[in-house]
Amino acid sequence: MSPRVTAILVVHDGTSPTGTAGLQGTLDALARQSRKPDAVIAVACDAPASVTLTLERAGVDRIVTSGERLKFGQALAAGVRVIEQPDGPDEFLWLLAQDTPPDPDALEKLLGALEIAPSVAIAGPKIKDAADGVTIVSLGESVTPFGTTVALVENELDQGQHDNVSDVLGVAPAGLLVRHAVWEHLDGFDPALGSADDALDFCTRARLAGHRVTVVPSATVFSGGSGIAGAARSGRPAARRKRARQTRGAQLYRRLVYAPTAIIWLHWLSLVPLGILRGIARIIGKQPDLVGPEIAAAFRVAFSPMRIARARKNLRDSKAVGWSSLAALRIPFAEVRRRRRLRRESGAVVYTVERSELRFFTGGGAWLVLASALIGSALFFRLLAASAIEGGTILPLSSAVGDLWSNIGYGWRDIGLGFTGAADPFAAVVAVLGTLTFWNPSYSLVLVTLLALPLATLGAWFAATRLTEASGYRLVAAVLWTVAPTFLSALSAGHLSGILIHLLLPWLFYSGCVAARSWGSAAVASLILAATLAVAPTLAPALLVLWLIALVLSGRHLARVVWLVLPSAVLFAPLVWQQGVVGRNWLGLLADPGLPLLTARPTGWDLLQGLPAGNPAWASIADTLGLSALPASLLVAILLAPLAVMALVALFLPGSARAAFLVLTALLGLATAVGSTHLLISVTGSQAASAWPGSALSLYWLGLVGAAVVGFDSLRRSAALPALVIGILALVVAAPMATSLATGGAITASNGRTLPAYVAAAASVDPSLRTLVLTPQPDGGVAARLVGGVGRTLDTQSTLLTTTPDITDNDEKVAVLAANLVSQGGLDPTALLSEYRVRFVLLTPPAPSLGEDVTAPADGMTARAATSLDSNASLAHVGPTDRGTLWRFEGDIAQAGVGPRDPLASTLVLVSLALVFGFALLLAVPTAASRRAAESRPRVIGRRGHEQAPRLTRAERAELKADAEAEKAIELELAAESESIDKAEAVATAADAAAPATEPTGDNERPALVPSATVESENNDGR
Amino acid sequence: MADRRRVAATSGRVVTGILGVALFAGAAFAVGQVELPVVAADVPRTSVTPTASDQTRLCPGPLLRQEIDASSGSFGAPAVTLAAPEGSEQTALSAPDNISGDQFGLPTVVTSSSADGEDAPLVAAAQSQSADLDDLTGFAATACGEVSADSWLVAGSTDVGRTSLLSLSNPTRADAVIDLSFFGETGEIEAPGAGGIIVQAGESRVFSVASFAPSIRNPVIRVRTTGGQVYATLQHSVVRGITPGGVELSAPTAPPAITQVLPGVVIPGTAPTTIGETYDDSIGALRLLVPGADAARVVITFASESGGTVPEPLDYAIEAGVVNEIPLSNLAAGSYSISMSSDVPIVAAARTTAAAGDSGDFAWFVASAPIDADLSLAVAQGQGSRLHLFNPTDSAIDVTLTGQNGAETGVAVPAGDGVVTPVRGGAAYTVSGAEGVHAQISFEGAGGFSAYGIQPANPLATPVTVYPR
Repeated sequence: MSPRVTAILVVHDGTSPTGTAGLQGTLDALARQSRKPDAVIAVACDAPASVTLTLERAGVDRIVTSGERLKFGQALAAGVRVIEQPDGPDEFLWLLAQDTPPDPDALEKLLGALEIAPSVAIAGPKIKDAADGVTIVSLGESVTPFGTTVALVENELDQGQHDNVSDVLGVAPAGLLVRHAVWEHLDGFDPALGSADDALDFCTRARLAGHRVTVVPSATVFSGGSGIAGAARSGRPAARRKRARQTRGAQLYRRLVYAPTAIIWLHWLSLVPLGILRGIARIIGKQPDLVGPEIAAAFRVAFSPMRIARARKNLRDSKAVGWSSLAALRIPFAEVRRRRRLRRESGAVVYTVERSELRFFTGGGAWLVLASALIGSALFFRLLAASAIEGGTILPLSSAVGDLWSNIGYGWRDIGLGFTGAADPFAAVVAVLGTLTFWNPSYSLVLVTLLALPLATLGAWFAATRLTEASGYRLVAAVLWTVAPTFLSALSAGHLSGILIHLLLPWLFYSGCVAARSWGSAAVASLILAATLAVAPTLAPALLVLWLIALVLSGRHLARVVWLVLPSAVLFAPLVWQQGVVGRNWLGLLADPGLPLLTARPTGWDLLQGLPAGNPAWASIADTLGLSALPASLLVAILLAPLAVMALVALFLPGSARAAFLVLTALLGLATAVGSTHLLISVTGSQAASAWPGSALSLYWLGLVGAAVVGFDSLRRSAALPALVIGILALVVAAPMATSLATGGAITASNGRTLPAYVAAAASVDPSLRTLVLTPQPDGGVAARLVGGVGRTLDTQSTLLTTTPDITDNDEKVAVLAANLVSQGGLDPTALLSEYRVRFVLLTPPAPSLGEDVTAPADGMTARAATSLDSNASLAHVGPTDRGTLWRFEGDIAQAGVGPRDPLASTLVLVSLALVFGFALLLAVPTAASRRAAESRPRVIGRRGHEQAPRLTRAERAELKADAEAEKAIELELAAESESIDKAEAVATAADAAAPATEPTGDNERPALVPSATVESENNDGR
Repeated sequence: MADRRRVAATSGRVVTGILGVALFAGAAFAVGQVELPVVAADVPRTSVTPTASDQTRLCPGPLLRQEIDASSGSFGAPAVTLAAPEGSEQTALSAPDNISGDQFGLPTVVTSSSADGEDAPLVAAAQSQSADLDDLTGFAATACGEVSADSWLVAGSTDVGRTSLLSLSNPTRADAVIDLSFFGETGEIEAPGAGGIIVQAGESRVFSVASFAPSIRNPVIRVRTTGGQVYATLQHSVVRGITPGGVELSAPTAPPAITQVLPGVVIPGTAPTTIGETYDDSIGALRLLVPGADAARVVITFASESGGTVPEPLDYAIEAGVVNEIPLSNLAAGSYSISMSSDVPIVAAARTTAAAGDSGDFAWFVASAPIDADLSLAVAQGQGSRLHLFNPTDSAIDVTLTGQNGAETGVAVPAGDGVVTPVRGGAAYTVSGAEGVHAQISFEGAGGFSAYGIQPANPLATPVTVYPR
């Protein structure tokens, strides 16, 4: 009896992604077969009428139509259903899809393989890429002992090097020729499997039923890779994610189907936890887009018990031999490791770009940081022994790390009488700082101050490595950044935000300008951006503009650039909701966090020189020298002018795009600074403080210094002298300011308390006691604040309070109490003091109005308050303290009520913060692969002419674009990383693996587009 | 091709550069020159009126006569006029320094309790007493006042023949620890024993100023207390040669301020004859002290209540810490409101002397603070009682006086001017519509010459601006 071949052609819309292997191409190829199929049955799934017409014109024997897009297995089943049951072993099914045109002799060769060996039930062709016609897409499949699918040959140029392969575990679905009887016996492809592993599963079952599966390298079928038969090969992110989900889903599905009944529950229980663990590993592996597919696949499989039960029954019915019969066909671990190593090497060797040495030590960077550290400790010599500092906007921190963290997010804020609200994002920064010195959180601010200079130098030096390879210019940049007038002013005024922003901005620049290159950089930059915005919300508009520009320029790495703002958005969400959306106080979002600081309003001229609060040091020098005719501001401006000139000159030099971006940054910073000085939004007592313009001036300075460095870099050696001069002039400007830091400055050592020791002692026994702090105001009014426990801390400051123009009920309550306490009225305050748990009343020295002494009305209020408090029968005069005059309430304090429970929103906020920041942190963790990937790019950004074109070691790959290759190499590395993840998981499930038989466990590897140098089939290896 | 590209790149850079420089220069110019509006947050504030308290007024009790042994005793009882709602209580304080005991009355506290949630009751009281001893004559009227923790007495003298007795009455529930500071024409006086004086609750103590600051012509006394508070008064009497020259009971003047107003200072038509003393305290004089450390520049203006000619404003530079007396001898007889404005806070009072029979009597006119819209007015018993009102504001104020019988008297006080209106001695009035007016009551007649200022009630219970941030 002559063999009878029925070709089943699954058709969707008749096209192919590559354009050369459409339906017509496939039909033509069928017509050209040297051994024509005896019948052709087309299964048209959701196909347009034109497709049906094409099929009819081609003379297809039967057309089965379906209204929906069936999976390949389901479509085949529909096609097989219309033909008669086989009555012998010589009836064959040939599985084709619309985009799989076979070679003219393909069927003949396949049929030949089956005819000569009755034990062979399935024969698969060599599948090549239809687009180029020479790349092998698939030539047999296997699994590792743990069940990971392995393509024996993948993405390799066909030079006949694999043409001796024969027996394999499985073959790809496209062009597969199977005996019809076996197909019926095995019930065809598992309908639950999609385009991933459907043929492998079928072949595995065929093997277990006692048949052989071979691959016929001489038979060739081309594949367009549209995903009808076999996985789609599109590189689009959405397709990548879908492929990952299907592959992983098929993996887990097969695991549950193949597992022995006794331990199937163990596998089931491990599904979701493993999915989450693998998701985390994907994040660390810099593949955040594959986290969703991992978890989705786990859930999908976990909740499809019926399909699994049916598949298990099917397997049981057809199984004839044990799992051990497959052992020889699997790929042993040694081979898996060898392949992984080879691929990693091929990735590293092929696409290395020479990255210069960092030269931190040899280039003098380290010595500059050391010098900066020495100068810093000399300037802050008085703080060396301090355990806490205060002054300016600086307050001590809560003494327990737990308290610091409980003050972030959304919830009960124990400020005044307390309220439920959003914490400043800055509280999170404070919590991180305090945790660094967990034994004494307040000490972290001492460290910040002491190390401010060297940290600024270090950051600037690294930021400069993004702009120039010349060590000298990096040093100049570091010096210019360290002696920035705005930085020295912030140190002098004790403006914590101004100090921190100057330390953060260089790192934001360092990581932010390469964010599009890798997920790791994007994650680091997103974290630094969140900290930057939390420290100085005024920078948000300027940074938003820069981010939008980056977004426009991001190209195909849009996701990484979009991610940059996500942690910041989540961090600010509660405050934006409460302050902006509910409170309609959008401007209040820009308020500086921490203690409001009243500063003299600088002129625009000051701001241009980078001075956020005037220049008292230079003014006094000018006075001493009798230079009244030549104001200090003019002198400083002249000294700093060369820097601005250099920054602008850079615009005319090669590489001006970088300079233009940096000059734009400077202008944005300047505009923000001007805006800050016009925004008096933080209320303290009877006065409103402006936002600190110094933070924006740091951005301004960053742009100027950066553009100047770009200019140096473009001029090469000829800029050495100008650079030296600019550096020296900046040092000259800074010298008097730095000296005034050593002699004065607002930052002073403190004992870590903001209330008298007497209060602190009482609060240490009962921290829920409060102190009413009364501060006479310049206009004769009095500021009244309820302070809990040992006093105000930096982490309990809230811009919600300092910027709200409304009087709340709590404010009203405190005001009534305070007004009666500073008056000789008839109110008996006992009940109120008791209810509000006020044990102490502190009358502080009057608040000076800006630049003036204490006013007479303030003195009057001080006297009135002291007199009234003295005469109050329920208060006992404790006496003068270092913080003011203290009275003690002698009555009983009400029992502390149970504090209001944090609302559900509080938990939600904390969970989302933890998720997003955990995600970012995991993404930011460097791995060996991500380091290698980073090293494949030059350190500097945007400079033309120095970059070496990727060196191609394989002439055959020359047609591929260089950067696409580099990209693939990175992905390859990452894939290798994720394989090690698989291995870890495999170990976790090793107990299962040791179970009877050899049920496959383990995971898939990513279907990377691998330009592999070394692929050997197992047969070739002789194993 | 490559050349063209290079040209394009170069010209692109030039355009970028020129644009950038122009933009930067424009921004620099704008930042330096353009004034932008400032967005300032509304500072949250709330004005709270303290809960009304019980009202107390302390009447300092009978005049005292100092014996040879420096002890003092009373010789007659004062007449007290009350202008208080029904239910007011009078409680006597103990006066251990009075050797006469309670024979002629004691310092008395008038208390009127406030109903819950109501405004403070309007309470006033005044007392007057005439002396006709061989070494103490004259008429002294004074208001019963409120206790204070910090009062300034600008009166008295410890020169030869002058006696100044400081009376400190503590009606509060706490003992008062008192620190006295004395200033004289030579500056602040080191007074041993002037600190830490304790006046127990419910007690009234009397001290001779001469024991702290002897031979001071023009003392100014500051009384500061901690704990309880006191009402301080100064009994100032004069003997010229062997002729008694009058007595006055002076209450604290208005606290230091950069403007002080002495409403209705009466310059009597007749002055007593004096026998060529080196220092003639019968000449009317304005006593001034700058308490701080900085010298003051004081401009003194006069407003005549009788419509007569007023002298030109005086402009003085006054040294800090030294008591100055500015003679008022160039003022014609009549009554004048004296306003002082200074660049640093000052305290002030004025003294004038009238002839009374063979000798004379004098009065201290203290500075008074602007009074509230509504108040009670107690006019002490005495002859020739008149109410002086001065309106320092820019608009006329109509004040209504309502007598006990309900008879209303309208008094229009022109802007920046003073008026005088007769009131009945020993009567109580209710004053309304008087917000911002300075008031004083003077007595001038055959019985003697005296005056007391009307101070606003509850100076420490005025509305307070509270800033909750």
